[in-house]
Amino acid sequence: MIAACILTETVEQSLYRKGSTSPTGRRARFIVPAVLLNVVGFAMWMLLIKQVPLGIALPLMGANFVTVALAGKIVFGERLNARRWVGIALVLAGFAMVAGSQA
Amino acid sequence: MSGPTDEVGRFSAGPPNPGLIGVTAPSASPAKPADLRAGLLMIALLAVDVAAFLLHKVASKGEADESVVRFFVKLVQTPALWVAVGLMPVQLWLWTRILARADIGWAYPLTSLAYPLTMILAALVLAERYDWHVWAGAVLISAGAAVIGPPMRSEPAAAERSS
Repeated sequence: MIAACILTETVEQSLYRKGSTSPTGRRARFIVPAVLLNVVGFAMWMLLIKQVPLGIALPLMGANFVTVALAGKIVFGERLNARRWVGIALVLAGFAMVAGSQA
Repeated sequence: MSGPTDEVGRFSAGPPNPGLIGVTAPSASPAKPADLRAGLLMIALLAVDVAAFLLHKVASKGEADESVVRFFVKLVQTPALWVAVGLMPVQLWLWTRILARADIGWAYPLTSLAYPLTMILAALVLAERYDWHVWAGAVLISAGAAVIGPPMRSEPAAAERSS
């Protein structure tokens, strides 16, 4: 469920990103599915926090910052500077600590 | 200057998202130092963010063995859900007010404070208990999110160059 939430969020943000740089007439084909994914993602978030304490689920969603940054690099060719790699490492370390405590 | 795409990124209903979008608005304007008003608006936004997360948790209460359909049928009848949904435009409005007064490089990292603040409130109000690994991990994640920071404006992305 956590992986599904993160995947949905990442695809949604990528669609916004794609839509925001598309010609005006073609934006809707990216933005509309992104908004629908927002609703789907919210539904999955509610299912997740039904099962998991808020204080566990919320920090784990911080993985979104990493996946979206990496999607920007891989899909859109955005550059990641050293500061961002440090941030990604911090988030991953924190993710491991939170997830590890639940195992 | 804030493009409308920034707000869409902040507006996501679920957990806070990094707002990859927003790269289309290169901010040529000089950095605005955050003033007292921007600080107060940020405190208000964090309070609303935390309240929304607590309301999500309250709204999501249900029996462990109920079906997914039953869960959502009950969910849409839960006042806490609709209060949280009603807070979404408030969050969007506060965020646009903040961006109108302060630089996104100042404002964006502060929004990740909503994580640890929500955990503190969930511990106090919802009696959730976490061991120290979770607290330390949450601090690392919030710090990392703040360091990753807002979308970079100055660099045109490859997708824009190629299209």
